[in-house]
Amino acid sequence: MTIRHHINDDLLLAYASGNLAEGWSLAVACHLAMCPECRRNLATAEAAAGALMENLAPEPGPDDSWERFKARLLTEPQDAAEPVKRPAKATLPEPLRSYLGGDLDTLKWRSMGTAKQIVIRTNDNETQVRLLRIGAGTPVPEHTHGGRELTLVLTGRFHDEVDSFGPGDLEDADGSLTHQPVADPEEDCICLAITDAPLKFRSRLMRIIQPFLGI
Amino acid sequence: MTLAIYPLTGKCNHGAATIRPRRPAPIKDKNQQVMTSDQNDDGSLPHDLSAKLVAIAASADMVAFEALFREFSPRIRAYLLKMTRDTQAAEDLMQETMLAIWRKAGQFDPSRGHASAWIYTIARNIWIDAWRRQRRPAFDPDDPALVADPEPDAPKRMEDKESSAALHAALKNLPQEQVELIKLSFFDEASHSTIATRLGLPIGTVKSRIRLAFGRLRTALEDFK
Repeated sequence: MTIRHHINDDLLLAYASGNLAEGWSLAVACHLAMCPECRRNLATAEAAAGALMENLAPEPGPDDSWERFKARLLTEPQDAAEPVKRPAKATLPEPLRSYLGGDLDTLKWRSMGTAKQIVIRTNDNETQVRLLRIGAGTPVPEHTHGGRELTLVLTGRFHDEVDSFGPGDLEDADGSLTHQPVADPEEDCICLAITDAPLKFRSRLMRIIQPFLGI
Repeated sequence: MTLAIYPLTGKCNHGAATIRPRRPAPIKDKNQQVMTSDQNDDGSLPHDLSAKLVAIAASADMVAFEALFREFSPRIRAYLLKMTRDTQAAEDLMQETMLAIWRKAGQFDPSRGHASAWIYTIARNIWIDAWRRQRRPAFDPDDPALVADPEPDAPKRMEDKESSAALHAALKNLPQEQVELIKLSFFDEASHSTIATRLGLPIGTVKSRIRLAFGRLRTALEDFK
């Protein structure tokens, strides 16, 4: 897999510092699962954060901080961690499978024109997260963005006016871009799409039915 | 790792309870302070954290853990105070962090990174969960769908002690302004636009300076390898 579109430093640092909302973080985490290079960058960022934390001026706490802690340690039940069950093989990476409740072959898609989608719920209220399946050789309806859109290709390829995107590629588009992604003809393209505002479709029909599609 | 902790029946000298590690750990008198005088010249902590965590995991040694707590909890508290601006929340979340460190010490793998980075990520995740009330999507290093690093040994990982020294040296060699910007990105519940407003700079400038600072840090670490 040759990834050409990576996590930029702004996004990486926001994810490393915990300031990135859950929806965006899901796309970042899935790219990380597919990209050793970005994992090394994340390790550097977290190592820097750890070193900077060591250098912070110590903040004194209550005198009984340790005693309080020790009391908890001795009285609270220590749950043995459940061993993580992993399949022998998987197509979609974690943490996506956990969010979807299964791998690619178990998903129930909803039709949306030439594309199909699954809405993924998160605990943040600033993003909308969807898994999209764009039919081979077909476009998703042309749209501009009210805000940012992060698109991570999981399988297949798509191209738009800007570039071509294959497995692991992360497209970071802002509100100024109007684009029409088209899946390459060989196979369906499955991607994770995160937006921070409802999409604005050019087509009047799409705008009318948009509320019913949950996008 | 199994950390078995059993409530006592009051027969212990110290009253409350005891733990059952492989090597029974005497619980110290509460007035007995553990000294933390072994700091480096620059005020940072000595870099034998990894060894300490491994030892704690192996023996559930509460005396060793008390030393770690007294050394490191004021830093974790300082970090969480920056993130919450709330003294009580910082103390509570620090306690949660230390509890997670105790419970997860066996999962710490020195070959996957620095001990201080590991502790930072635990504190950060607890803050995200408790303060932001969001989940933290993270990749699973043992996921069958994970794309493995084609060159796992290159760059060859340095011994934790050395690379920790390299990090501190790299941070020291960065211009102060750049270190401050990196600090702001990690230790503030603030977006880049908030930081920009506070510094009176255009957001584009703040972003490019943070990118520059992080790029220099990365280069400095690569050079060291």
